[in-house]
Formats: sequence, structure tokens, C-alpha cells
Amino acid sequence: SSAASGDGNDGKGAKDAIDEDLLNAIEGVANNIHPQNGSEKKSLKNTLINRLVANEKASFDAAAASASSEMLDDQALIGLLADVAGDAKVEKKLPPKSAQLRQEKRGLVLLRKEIFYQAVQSGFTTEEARVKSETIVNEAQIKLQEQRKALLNDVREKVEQEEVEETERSEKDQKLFTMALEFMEKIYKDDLISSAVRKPVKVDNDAIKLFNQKPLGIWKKGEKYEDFSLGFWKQWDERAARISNGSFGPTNSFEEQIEWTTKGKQWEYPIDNEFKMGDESNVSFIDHVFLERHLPSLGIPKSGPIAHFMHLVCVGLSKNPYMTAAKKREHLKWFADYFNTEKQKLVHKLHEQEQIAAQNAL
Amino acid sequence: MIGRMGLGRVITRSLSSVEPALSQKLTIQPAIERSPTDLLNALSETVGPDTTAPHFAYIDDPITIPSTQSTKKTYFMAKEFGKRAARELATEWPTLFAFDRDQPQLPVFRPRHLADPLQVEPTENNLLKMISSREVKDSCILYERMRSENVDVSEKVQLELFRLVTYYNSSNVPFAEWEEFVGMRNFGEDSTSSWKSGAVADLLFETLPKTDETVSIMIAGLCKFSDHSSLERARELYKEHRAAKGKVYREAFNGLIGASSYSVGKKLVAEMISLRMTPDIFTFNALLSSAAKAGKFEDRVKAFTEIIGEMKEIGVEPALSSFHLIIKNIIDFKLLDNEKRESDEQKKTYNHQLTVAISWLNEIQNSLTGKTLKPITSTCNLFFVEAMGIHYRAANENLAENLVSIYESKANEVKMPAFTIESMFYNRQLQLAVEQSASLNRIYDLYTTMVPRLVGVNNYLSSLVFRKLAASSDRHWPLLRRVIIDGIAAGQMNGVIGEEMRKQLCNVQLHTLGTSEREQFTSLVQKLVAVWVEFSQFTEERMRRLQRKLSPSQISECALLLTRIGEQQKAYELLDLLLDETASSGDEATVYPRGHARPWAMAELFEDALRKRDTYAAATCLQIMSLTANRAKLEPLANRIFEKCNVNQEQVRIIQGFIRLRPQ
Repeated sequence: SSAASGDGNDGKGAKDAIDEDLLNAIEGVANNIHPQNGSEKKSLKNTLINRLVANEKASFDAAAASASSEMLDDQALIGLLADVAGDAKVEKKLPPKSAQLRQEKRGLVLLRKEIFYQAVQSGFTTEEARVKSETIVNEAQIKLQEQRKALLNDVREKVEQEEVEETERSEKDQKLFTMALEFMEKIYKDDLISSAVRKPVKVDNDAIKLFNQKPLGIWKKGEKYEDFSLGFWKQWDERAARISNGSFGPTNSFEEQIEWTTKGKQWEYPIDNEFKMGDESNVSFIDHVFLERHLPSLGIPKSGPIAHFMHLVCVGLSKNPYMTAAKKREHLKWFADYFNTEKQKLVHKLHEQEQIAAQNAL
Repeated sequence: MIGRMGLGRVITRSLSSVEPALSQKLTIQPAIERSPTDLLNALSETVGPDTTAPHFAYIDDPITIPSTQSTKKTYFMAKEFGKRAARELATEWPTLFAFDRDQPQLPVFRPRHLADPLQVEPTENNLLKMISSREVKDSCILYERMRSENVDVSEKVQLELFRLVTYYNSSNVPFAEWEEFVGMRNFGEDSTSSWKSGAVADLLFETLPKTDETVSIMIAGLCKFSDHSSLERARELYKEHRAAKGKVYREAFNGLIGASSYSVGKKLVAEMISLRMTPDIFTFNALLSSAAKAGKFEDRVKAFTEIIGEMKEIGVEPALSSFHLIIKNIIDFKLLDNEKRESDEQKKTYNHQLTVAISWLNEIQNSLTGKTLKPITSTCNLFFVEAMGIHYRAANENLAENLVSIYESKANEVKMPAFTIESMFYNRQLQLAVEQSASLNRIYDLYTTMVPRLVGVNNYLSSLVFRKLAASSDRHWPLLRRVIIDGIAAGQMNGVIGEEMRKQLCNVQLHTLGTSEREQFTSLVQKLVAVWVEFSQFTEERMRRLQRKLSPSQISECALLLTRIGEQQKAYELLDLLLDETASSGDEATVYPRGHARPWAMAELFEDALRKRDTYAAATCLQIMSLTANRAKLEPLANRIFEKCNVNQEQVRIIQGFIRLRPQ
């Protein structure tokens, strides 16, 4: 009587501590082991519940600080038992692989131990009990593997779909590029050209003529009319016409040189080394080179040191290519002004003194 | 100068002459005065167009010579902008070129900045300089600045400015009138502008006295840049001035006539007669423009013939632009679109109008033959391209050739822009000739003469030539090779033209080619396949957008071509790509995942493998064909492998097992 009362108390407590899904799972396991014996089934069920409650209490006490983790483990275990029993449905989840494996291993070990114990209690031999527990645990493991495989397949399908989308995107880029090329081609396409087959249309001599027709009759031939025109407008129109009806510049090297010549970029043919000389082109080289003929008219003495010096000046000026002839004559005139009559006497005197000194030195 | 004396001629006689005094006479001919360009002109006349070379503007490293119209534009504008950049550099930093000892000095190499209207002294002389150099906007700015600074501007200078701003609508000179930079002139796109109300032109018109000249200039400007309001204003000005007994100049009449309908135009012409005014070519062109607005074909025909008759009556020679206006407007506009000529009645009407057009062009071209053609108006060059359009529509090749001879004769000084309108002109002629000609030799001569020198390579022309080659029973390897090479240069390989190239090359009968032609065929195929393979291997991220994956059909055709030139190894390397799954998937894919190999190409490759008793090759072909064929088709092929090749029992079993696995 007291034992029966104790059993009742345990059952009530278990129902409060363990949720309904787990209870259903336990019932499934009991049915699997003892399909025919009702009393044995009930006894097994009660024992499993008690064990699980004790285990849960111990776990809770040991990991009070990680209650959420334990709840997760508990939930996973519930799922495991549900799959084994086939009575309950569990939503698909995406736990980390290592956590998933840890939960599976822990649940399977626990389940194997309990089933072995109950089988021994039920009268099976040790060997038979081991085989029984192994079989049930293997079934559970297979279900878990199938579940994991399904998840993996989902992930693989997503990856493949993404690859397909990327390929299509790449192809779209190529199509855009090709479209751009075709658009570039179309800009220069002649819209008149068509692929329709056309038969030749011949000249019709009986058609109405463009020439040889009756005129308007507005202006009369032979009568005199006044040319009343804005001159500049007509000139500018003709200039525009001349420019517009040209093409893309020179078509051969000679035309290019003609263009350069007219623009002043090139020496003119026939080659003339006096090209664009300016006023100097009218001056003979004689005026540049033979400068001594100007000396007598400038009052330079014909002999003596001054004459010698001026000879050297003329030679230097005649070799200068950068001065104009007029400038050279200015130089000579300057020297002539410098060597005026007074300076000529001074130079002459100094020259005599120098010669006397030279003779005395000997 | 001895050089300027010309050649001296010494007349000598033998000593045995009976007139010794005459034999000693020396005669020096007087110098012939020549302009600086006479010698160059004489030399240039001896040079004709080189049909084997590109245009003179494109003589360059051969790899840079353009083939298509877009690349021609890019090349030409790049050169021109480079020149302008150099010009700008010399203008902006003249001190970089200050060390200059060149004699003589050439001012063209020392460009100077244009005067800034906001910096320059506001004097009439500076304004006149800007006006004479056609700097329209700068002149306007300087004029407004002078007015704001209360500087007096004489009426004479204001009139000069009024002429400029009215002729150019207070805007800068349009690209079409740029003389120096021909690229901008021909490729630049001016926006068609309407009259700018309230600009300097209007201001000057209100300031200046209303004389015959100023009113006429204003009317001409309003009609030149016409929109609805400016035309209304022009007509009002005309009425007011005529009511005040004023006389209007011819250019104003020309503008008003061109902007009016034909009946109003004739009334205006009657007004000109009452003023005893002489018409010019612009008057008749304006009248032709107004006649072109008539809606009915019969009315236009009557008007055009009347006007041409009137020109002939008073001795005004029609310009090419006159004929352009006639040819352009003779056919009803709505009938020109081929797809809109739906009913038989419309087709018949179109045919009739086209017949009249072609007959008139025959008369026009007869009148132009042998005559010196000079540019009279800006649109004279458009006559040629418009006439060639009529010839193309009418498929009249004789008149087209006659038109080309007129255009290319020495007497013609009217030139179309070479790379835009002239290219269209020659494209139409070439398309017409290729369509109508049955002789591949003639097509080859025309093609090599005109492409890509005059006509840019384009898809339509290439397709047309390929169709001609395919339709003809003759073979013409030089033409095929030339079109393919032009297609390579023009970037046509990756597209429908590329497919056409492969098809045409597969149709070539190698045994009909000579030794050198066979070598050309070999090198061409090698080049093409190498380029296609290279394009497929652009798998790096930065090259991905340029990648062109090989399609199975492309692979089979290339493999067939490679086999024909004796490159079996490369051919089967390509074919192995079709059996390699990794080649068509992933980031490194080089093969397009859709489509299948050409059955006829695989069949020929299979026969070739059997002929060579190559078991591996035959098995490869069999495996590729199994991707699209079923078991019933594969068994005979396998049996032929067993017959022709030396296969052992193990191989037989493998092949038979492979075939048994194929779907029924």
C-alpha cells in the first residue's frame, strides 16, 4: 500500500517535470520492447521517467549557470526520442555541427544504457539485452544522419542556385557589351540599305521631262533687271559653300605641302634662300662685302695706322651675316667721326714717338 | 640671281656652218614667273588615288589604320585634337618657345591668344578687329561692354556688327564653316538654332535707322534661323517696310520665299518682278524649297518643271543643290519607308514616282556630264548621295556608275566629306553593285577597291558578300579571304559574322586551291581559331567582360577546320572541352553550357577519323555525338568503328556497353 502510494506520487511529479512529448516518446519505447505485456510496459515506463527526472535534476544542479544550454540539450534529446519513436515531429534546426554531434552522442549513450538496463530487468539475457539496445540506438542514429543530410542538401541547392544566378549575371554583362558594339555599328548604318529584293527600274523615255518644260513666265528674257543684293550676305554664303563642299584635307603629300605653303608653314618653291628676307632682299652682296670703297669719302687717311685699323674693321664687318648693309655703313661712319682731324694728328704723333722709341731701343 | 634667270639656251652650230656669225649668238630666255604653289600643283595633278592604301590622313603604322567608320572618326579626331592641344600649349606658354633663332621667322608657329573682350581696351578698332575675324560672341561682349562704359560706337561700326550677328544669329561660327579643323567641321554636330530674341542683333536693329539695308538684313536673318515667331516677325517687317514704300533686298526675298508655301512664294516672286529685281541661284533654290512643300506628287512635278524651265529661260544655271532639292522631295515622303507600302495601290504609286525620279536623274546626269561643277551653295555635295539613294532604290546600276564617274571626274570641284557622306555614297553604290552583279570577279574588284578605303567594314556588307559567295557555284578564295581579314580588323569575329566566317571556310574545297592559297587558308584558320580560343580564356575578373565563351557549335566547326589543315591534335584538344564538365561550369569556364555540336561537322570529323583508323578520335566523336543522338543512330556508327579500326575485344565491349547505356 505504501509502495503503491509512492508510485503514484512519482508519476505525478514526473508529469509535472517532463513535458508531454517526452512522455509520448517513452511510451513508444515501452511499446517497442514489450508489445504484448501491459504490466511490464507500465513498469518500464515508470522506471524510464524516474531515471530521466533524476538525470535532469542532476544536470540542472551541475550546470545551473548554463540553464539555456541545458534546455537546448534537453530539447535535442526530446527530438531524438521523438524520432526514435516516430510519434512526434520536430522542427528543422540549424545547430552548429559540433554542438549537434555532442548532443547526439550524449543522448545515444544515455538511451543505450537505459534500454540495456530495462532489457536485463525484463528477463532478457545480457547478450540479448545488448543486441536490443544496439539495434534501437542504431535506428536513432540513422534518423539523425538522414536529417543532417537533408540539411546539407538544402545548403548545396542554394549554392548551386547562386552559381546559376551568377552565370546569368555574367552573361547579361556580355550581352550588354555585345549590345553596345551593335549600337555603335548602328550609328553608322545607312538606313536606306535593306535586304528586300528589288528589280531594276529603267529610265522611262515617255515619262514627263524635267527639262524642256514650259517656264513660270515670271521673268522675261531680254528684259533688264536690277541686281539688288546684300553683297556681304552673298559673299559669306559662297564662303560657307566653298568650305562645306571641301572634304577632309589633303589627299596626297603634294596637296599637304600646298596647304603648308599657303599657310606660311613651309618655304616656297622654287627654293630661294632669300625667302622672306624683307628689305635685305633688294641689297646686293657687294654692298655687304666690299666696304673699303666707302673709306675715302668718309675722310679716312689712305695710309698709316688709322688706315690699317680701318682695314681690319672692314674685314670684320664684311664677315658678319647678322647686320644689314646700312648698319655696316653706320659703323664706318661712326669710326670716321671718331677719327676726326684732331685725332688723326694725335695718332700720327703717337705713331712717330713709338717708332723713335723703337729705334732707340735697338 | 642666276637661279631666277631660268635656263639659258646656247645655240651652237658646227664649225662647217656657212653662217659663222649666227653660230656664235647666245640667247638667254627670260625667267618664267611662278607662284609659290605652281610647282606643287603640277606635281599633285600627276597623283591619283591609291586604291591599295587608306586615305592619306590614315597613313600610319598598319595596326592603327582604321577599318570601320567609327574607328575612322576616332582616329581622325584624336589626331586633330592632338594638334589643337599643341596649338593651345604654344599659345598658353609662349616663353617655352622664346629661344628662337630661326630665320626667317614664321608667325604661324607662334600662335597668340585671341583678344579677351573683357580685358582689351574698349575701342572701335578692337571691335572692328573682332568683327573681321568673325569672333561673334566676343564682339557682342565687347560691344555690350562699350555701351555699359558709355563709349560711343559709330553707326558704321554698329552696322558692321549688325551684319555679323544677324548672319550668325549672335552665336559663334558653326562647325560647318570651320576652315582649319576639318574634323570638327565634318564630325561636329551643330545644334540647329532658332532666332535668339533679345540678343545683340535685336538690340542693334532697334538702335540703327530703318533703312532698306538694315530691314533686309533683319528679314534675311529671321528667315535663316526660322521658327514660327521669327517667321511671323519677318513677314510683319516685310509688310511694314513695303507699306512705307521701302525696297527690300534680294536676300530677304530669298529667305521669305524659302519659308513660305509655293503659292505665297510665287506672289513674293511677283513682288520681286515689280521691283525689277534680278533673281539668283539662291532665289530659285528658295522657290524649289517652297515647291517641295506641295503635298501632291503631280503638283510638285509641275512646280519643279516650271522652275527649272524658268531658270533655263533667263539663263541661270541650276546648281547641284537645286537638283538635290528636286531629287530629295520628288517621291512622297510616306512612300519612302519600305515597310509602310502595304497596299498594291501604294506600291504602284511608288513605282511610278520612282520611275519619274530615275528618268529625271538620267536627264540631270546627262546635263552634268563633262561640265565643270563648282560649289555654289552649302548643300551642293548632298546631291550625289541623294541621287545614289535613288539609284539604289531603283536598282539601276548603269546610272549609278555614271554618277560615280561624274563625281570622280577632274571637272568636279564639289567634294563630299570623305568619311561621312562620301562613305555613305560609295556604300550605296557598292551594295547595289554587289547585289546586282553575278560575277564574283567583279565583286572582288569592287570590294578591294572600295573597302575599307572608301566604305567602312560593316555587318550588312559582309553578310551580303558571304551570301553572294554561298549562292554562287563558282569559288573565289581571294574574295573570301579578303572579307574575312577585313572582318578580323573590324572586330566582327565574335558575332553573327564570326559564324558566317566559319561556315564559309568550311565550304571551301581545299583541293581547288593552289599551293600558296592553301598556305593562306592554313594561316587564316590558325589565326582565327587562336583568337577565338584566346577570347574564351579571358576568365580573370578584370577580363571577364571581354570574354566570349566557345559554344559547342563553334568548337565543332573549329575542330573541323583544324583537321582539314592537318592539326588533329589541336582539333581534339578542342573537342575534349565538350566532354569536360569543368570547362563549362564555374568561374574558370571557357565553354558555353548550352547548345550542341554541329552534326554535319561531327559527321565529317568521324569519317576523317575512320579514314585515318584513329580509334581514339573516332571514339571521341562518337561520345560527342551521343550527347544529341539516340541509341538507334549510334549503333551503326559503332559498327563502322569496329570495321575500320583495330579494336580489341575489351574495347569492343566498352563501346557496346557505352551505347547500351544511351537512351532509346
